[in-house]
Amino acid sequence: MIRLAWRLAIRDLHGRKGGLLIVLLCLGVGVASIAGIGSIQSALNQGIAESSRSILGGDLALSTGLGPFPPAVQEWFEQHGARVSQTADTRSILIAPSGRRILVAARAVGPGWPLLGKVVSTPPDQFADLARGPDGRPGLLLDPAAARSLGLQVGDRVSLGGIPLTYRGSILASPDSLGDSQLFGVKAFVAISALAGTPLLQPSGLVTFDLQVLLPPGASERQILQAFHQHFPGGPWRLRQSADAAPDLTRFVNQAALFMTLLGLAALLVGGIGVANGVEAWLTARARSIATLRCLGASARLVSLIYGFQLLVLGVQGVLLGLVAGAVAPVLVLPPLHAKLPLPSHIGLYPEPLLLAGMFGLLVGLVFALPPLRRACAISGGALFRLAGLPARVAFSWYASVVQSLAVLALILLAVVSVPRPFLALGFCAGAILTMLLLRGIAALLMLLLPRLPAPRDAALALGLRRLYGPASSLPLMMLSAGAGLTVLVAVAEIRGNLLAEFNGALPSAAPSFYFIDIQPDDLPKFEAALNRTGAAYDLQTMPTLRARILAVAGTPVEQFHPPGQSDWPLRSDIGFSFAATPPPGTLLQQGSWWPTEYLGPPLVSFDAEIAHDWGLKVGDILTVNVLGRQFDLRIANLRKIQWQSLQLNFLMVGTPDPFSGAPYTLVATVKAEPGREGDVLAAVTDALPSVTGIDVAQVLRAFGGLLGELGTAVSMVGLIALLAGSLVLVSATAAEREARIAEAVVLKTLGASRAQIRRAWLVEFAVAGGIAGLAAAMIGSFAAALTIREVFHTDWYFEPVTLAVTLLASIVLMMIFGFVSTAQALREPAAARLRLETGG
Amino acid sequence: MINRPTSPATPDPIIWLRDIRLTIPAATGPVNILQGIDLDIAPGETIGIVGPSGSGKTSLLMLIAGLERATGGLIKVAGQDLAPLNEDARARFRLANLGIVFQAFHLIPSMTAQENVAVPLELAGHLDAAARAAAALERVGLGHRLSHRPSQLSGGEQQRVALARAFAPMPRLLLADEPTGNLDAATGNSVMDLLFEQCAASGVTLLLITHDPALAARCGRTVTLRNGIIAT
Repeated sequence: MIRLAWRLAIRDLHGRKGGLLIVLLCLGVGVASIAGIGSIQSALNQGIAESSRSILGGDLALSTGLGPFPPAVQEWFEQHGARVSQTADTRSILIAPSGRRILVAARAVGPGWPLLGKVVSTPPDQFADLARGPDGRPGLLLDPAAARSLGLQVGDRVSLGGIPLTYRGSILASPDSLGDSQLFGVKAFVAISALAGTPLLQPSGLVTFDLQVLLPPGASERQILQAFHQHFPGGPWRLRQSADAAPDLTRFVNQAALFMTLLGLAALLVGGIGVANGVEAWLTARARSIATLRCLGASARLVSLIYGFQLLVLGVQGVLLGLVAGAVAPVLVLPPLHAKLPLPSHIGLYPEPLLLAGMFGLLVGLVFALPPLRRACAISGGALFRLAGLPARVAFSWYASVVQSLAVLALILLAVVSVPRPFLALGFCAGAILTMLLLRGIAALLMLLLPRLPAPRDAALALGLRRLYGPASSLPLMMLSAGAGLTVLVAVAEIRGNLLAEFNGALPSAAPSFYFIDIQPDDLPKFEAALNRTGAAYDLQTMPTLRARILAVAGTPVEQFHPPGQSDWPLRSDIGFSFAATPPPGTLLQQGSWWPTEYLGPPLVSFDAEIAHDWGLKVGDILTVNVLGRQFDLRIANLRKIQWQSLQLNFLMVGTPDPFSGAPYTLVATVKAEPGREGDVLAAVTDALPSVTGIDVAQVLRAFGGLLGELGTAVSMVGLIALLAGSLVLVSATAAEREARIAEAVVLKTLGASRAQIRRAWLVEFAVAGGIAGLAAAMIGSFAAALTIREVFHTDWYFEPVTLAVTLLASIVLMMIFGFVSTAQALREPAAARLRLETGG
Repeated sequence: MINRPTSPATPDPIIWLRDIRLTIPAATGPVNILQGIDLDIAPGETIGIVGPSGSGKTSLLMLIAGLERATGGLIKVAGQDLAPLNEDARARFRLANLGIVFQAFHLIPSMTAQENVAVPLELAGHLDAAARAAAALERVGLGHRLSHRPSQLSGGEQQRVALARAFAPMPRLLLADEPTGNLDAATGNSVMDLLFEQCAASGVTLLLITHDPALAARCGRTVTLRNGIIAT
């Protein structure tokens, strides 16, 4: 039977294939978006992997914030034939001769750096003599845009954190530039010898010391690392190999790809509605053929095989179309993207994301094509003697229900296992299903209510509304297609708008104006005096700070401890640590209690309640921590609720003063400045204490907001694909009912309706459908955005009436334009020709 | 020089045709459907148009209804020269003067029987369209089927709905193109009885196209078309 079915399927397919182009496109667009996003993600990850040695600066890199590496470490690697270099990353204020100042992320480089690649400067060859130049002073190379903004000329004397340097030129290229961020300072190079022994490289500040290792050719990395760990057990540094060269960069790429993949899946699901519609139209056109086959003796099973094969052939074509488009996406997207986001990439063919996208496409096709196929198989031979079409309902079938349910489950399972955050994927699937049910429900409710409204006086309005609630109404389809696509766009736009408002509005108004770091305890009076002299600074808060690294959590070494989701951030690198005798201002204790002011006993710690919850910690558990090279077992005395988004001074861990107050700590301070006087406050502090670094919070928030805006735009582009998929569904719907519309127009013209009246009626139909779809999308999209903002980003949600109004208006206008264009030809069909065709006279 | 026929000084007939020609382009070359038709129909007459398939009967009806433009000749319906009217003006003319019944019923499938009948009344701006539609359906014996859609009606019932729709606006002229063509004999007879009853009751002029000589015989006058001209 299978061979017969295949033969009949191909024979029929050769005869007529038209009408399914829209189905191919509906599948293809969704598959292309998932395949494209996956291919771009793979290209970026491959690029990062291939550039890992450049990013690391060698085969291995060690990092610590606890102080410069002991000479023994470098010697050990050199004894094993490796080349070694050292760098230190710090932040400070650079002051130009004009007095203008800027926050700089300075990389202090030691001899031999970079081990791979080279630094290109203008004027050329300025990097080699950074330690001592022709004028006998150490030099500085700066980011070109920053140099221009400071009005620097080569040879100018500048001050970095109070250290006199000579500006030698601008950085054109450097091997470590991949993934550079300007958020916390513009890039500069200085010689490590110029900063050695100065407060800029003091371990308690925001300094990271790095050691880069280039192994000799042929050396076994695994063996060398084994020997190193044996020689230096439990060292207070983080070791990265090439596979983990840029974890933050990789994480950013993968997170962005995750959200965009889910949006691509949304587009594919919307396309699935078009598949269902297109397949229904396709099978309806074949209803007489099916009835004829049944009259001739074909079983329902044979019919299901014949048309199932046809749909499979066409579905595979649609999926392949999408895969080809997705495979070339890196070629089209990455080169223009490089200017805004200079990430390394390797453009090539990546089978894994294509396979995943193909599976999604086939499953969506199966889920949405099965119901109309079932109905087609229920056509009897008797349909030849009636108006042949797909039966509205079919008898319940366990087999069909199980197959359909398995297909839906397989789709959900594939979504869950293919993304790194399964609960997010599950939530998305649930949200998608709920959204579709809601939209369908709203359409059903409207179709129930509209006939009960008083009949409008205007004939065109009455005709238009009647089209919405009749049995052949396309309102459910319009709601699903336009509504689903718009819901995605509204949700994305609201999330973006809310987050930008938070960064550009709410956060800056509540946040301090400056964070000042690297304040020596003895300099605190001088610092306060400098602030007071400006008369523009207020609300000063200070806390001591040390660098620390968590080594074990409740007895489990961090190498074996894998907390869920994003809560592993305190384990990735050194973190700030503070101590206090009394609870810092704004402390909200959730469990436990604060220690007495004069406490002297085993060291205790106050910990972040949210992280503790994710890590499964409670009051009384032990955290093993390395603070400035010494190991401590800290018992958790209490858990605090920390509102990080307030940007107020706070630390993940605050310990008892004993024993930490005896360590070489610095102070970090937050200050608010009168609006417009921020420059005065910064100048006063950095003039009085050049080694103190001031971070302008508003500037950082603006830069971050800009980055967020760019990312939001990229995500919105993918959201537009969902709208495109919705548009294709609408096109398929209007194509399917074209004949019915022409017939209706002919009858109405015959009865005396003018073309203008018929057009008005149809425009009313599209405008009302568009308005309701837009309103539903705005409400559902806003709800989804509110949920995401509260549960994922942990900020407040603000209702955006502009988004709602724009969505509503855009939906109505676009639907009317679409309605006008798609029905124009139906209106132009001459009545006489159609009538003559039917009567033959 | 072509001598064009002139219109009479005082047109009396409700349908007045002079030398009507209709040629339709086709892939194989132009087809002459009507080749010079002269016809006068007085108000209140019942005219049966008969002839073999392809003789031009339906085309003639469509010309009179303003659904087709004549290639040559003069045509006046209800005192209106149709030639200068554009498509929308013709639609308004039909709304004001004509009722049409088709072989294939041509009801709008998504509307109920009452809604279908109400459409021309709504187009004409009648505020009581629904009530008048209900009354029209009552007159054709379908008062109990107001909310049924065409798919829920038999062929005879659908044609009666079409009749109600054609009569509801009280037209001056009713055009019926093979109204019983898709019905069995018994149903067709009952529909035709209804049609003639309504015509007699309202005094409307009836132009009936039919293959059935018996039906044609029920009309006051029969016109036979053959090869695009009036044979008898």
